[in-house]
Amino acid sequence: MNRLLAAELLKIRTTRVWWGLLLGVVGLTAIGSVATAATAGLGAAGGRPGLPAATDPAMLRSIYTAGFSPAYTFVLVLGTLIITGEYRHQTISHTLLVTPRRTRVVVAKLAAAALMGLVYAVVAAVVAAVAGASTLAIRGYPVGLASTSVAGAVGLTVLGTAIWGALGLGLGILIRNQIAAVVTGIVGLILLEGLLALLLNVVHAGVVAKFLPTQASSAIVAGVSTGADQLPWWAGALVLLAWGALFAAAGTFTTLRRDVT
Amino acid sequence: MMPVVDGIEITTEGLTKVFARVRAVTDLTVRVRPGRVTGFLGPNGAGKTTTLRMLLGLVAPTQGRALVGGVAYADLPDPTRTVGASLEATSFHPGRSGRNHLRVVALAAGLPEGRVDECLELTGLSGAAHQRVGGYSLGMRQRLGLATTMLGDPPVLILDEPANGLDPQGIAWLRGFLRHLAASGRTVLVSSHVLAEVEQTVDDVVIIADGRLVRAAPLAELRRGAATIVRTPTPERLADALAGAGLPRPTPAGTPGAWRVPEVLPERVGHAAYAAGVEVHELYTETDDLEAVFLSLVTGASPPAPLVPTDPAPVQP
Repeated sequence: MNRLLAAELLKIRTTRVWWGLLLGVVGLTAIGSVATAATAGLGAAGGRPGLPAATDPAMLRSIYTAGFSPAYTFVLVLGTLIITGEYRHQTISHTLLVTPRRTRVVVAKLAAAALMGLVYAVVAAVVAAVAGASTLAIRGYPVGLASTSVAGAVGLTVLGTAIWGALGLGLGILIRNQIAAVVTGIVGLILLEGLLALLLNVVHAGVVAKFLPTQASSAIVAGVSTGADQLPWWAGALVLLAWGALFAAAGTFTTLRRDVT
Repeated sequence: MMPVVDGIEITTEGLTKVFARVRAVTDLTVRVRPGRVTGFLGPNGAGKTTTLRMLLGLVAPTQGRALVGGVAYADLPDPTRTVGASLEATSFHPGRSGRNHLRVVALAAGLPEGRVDECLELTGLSGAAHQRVGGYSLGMRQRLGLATTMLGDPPVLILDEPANGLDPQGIAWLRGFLRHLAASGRTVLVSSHVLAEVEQTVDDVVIIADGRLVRAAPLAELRRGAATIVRTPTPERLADALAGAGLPRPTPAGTPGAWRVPEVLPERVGHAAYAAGVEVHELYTETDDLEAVFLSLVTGASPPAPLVPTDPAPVQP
């Protein structure tokens, strides 16, 4: 099993897409954390409260976990590409000739996608730390990186991003077509789902909304409260994991059982 | 050369595949022997690739079994060290180098990384090892496919249309390569839709058309031809002699005085003529047009005799 995982990671490392996506994570994270740190505490006027102050623990968590959503979005795409690319470039036959037991291939790919999520999240955390801390320092605020609440939140983004990688892979197996899978992942899972969650909250059905993948992952970080009803962080992680397992299992029992022609 | 590997047989038993509504392969029972190169022949769409994919566990048979050494591919304890397969409609990631493609397979199969460079060397790809596959020619991709099959140094090789895209030098090289593998006791199964392409390479042929077995035989048997040519100054007497021996009627064979008897064994024709005292100037087996025999087998029609005139040639006195 270890050598299958190593082979999957080698596949990722020997093409260029993984670092292209990583560059996207780095760029968006830097922008996100600088913007959050630069605007913290602004907007308060005439007794009306503005954004939480830069010293507010929730605000600090927001600044230093700014890389979470870029990291999980891009690793979702990477996870999808790991499997759909095999069908697109017709390399799936090679993979299945070496490992005819198809579930073993899926497990190795799930693990590889999760590990890539880990890598993306760690890089994003470092970028957010550097960009956020320097912005706060320039504004003359304490950096606040040492706070345990920040460390905890950042640690959970790493866990959450790893799960998103596996989620992307599950989605890719289920929807074998590369473009369809990526579009479904980004538009469906991230954009439409946010809209759906908003609607559910409006009609006071937040109970359902909090079990959607994106809401569950917000719960994992629990940064600045969105006002929505959220799960505790560990339940968020479990819910996200369940989504990933659901997609991967559904994909394994449909696409992967099919004839490879 | 002495066999260096234990021979492993490929067998199919009543192998059948029905896709949606299309019968791709029907009741195919075949035995492919070690130590020989077997040509798996048939026109495009005859079901060759589907059969090979069933053999390799990529396509599930509707009925029947396909086995390598008596075991289904998916149940082989070490597939990469048992079977090397290169399939059509299988490709490589265009952004990955040839060497990295082999490294991935070697790593997943638990093969030593040293095999990667050996196989690149073996297939003449060392110079392009670090180039991205996107820049490879069709011939280079074929070589990379072949290099992949050789990684585990397997006793069984299954190659789908390996001559496609190779230049004449490449085809000559491939021929030597496959002959060498068979000589070492390996089982080599090579598919092609052009008999001429593999005619000089294969020992046995398995011919399929419309998903059904048409003929499985040593090539020499196929080469034996479908007819005997007789040259005689007295064709009427020959016709009588043949009729007396229960052999079919001769028809003009194109050249003056030559007659074509649709009987495979020349000795039977010769004996009939001798027994009736018919003067014979020439007697030989029609062998030259293997492609015509192949075509006739896959289309079900009788092979067109070379240059048959529509009218009987005038009998020379």
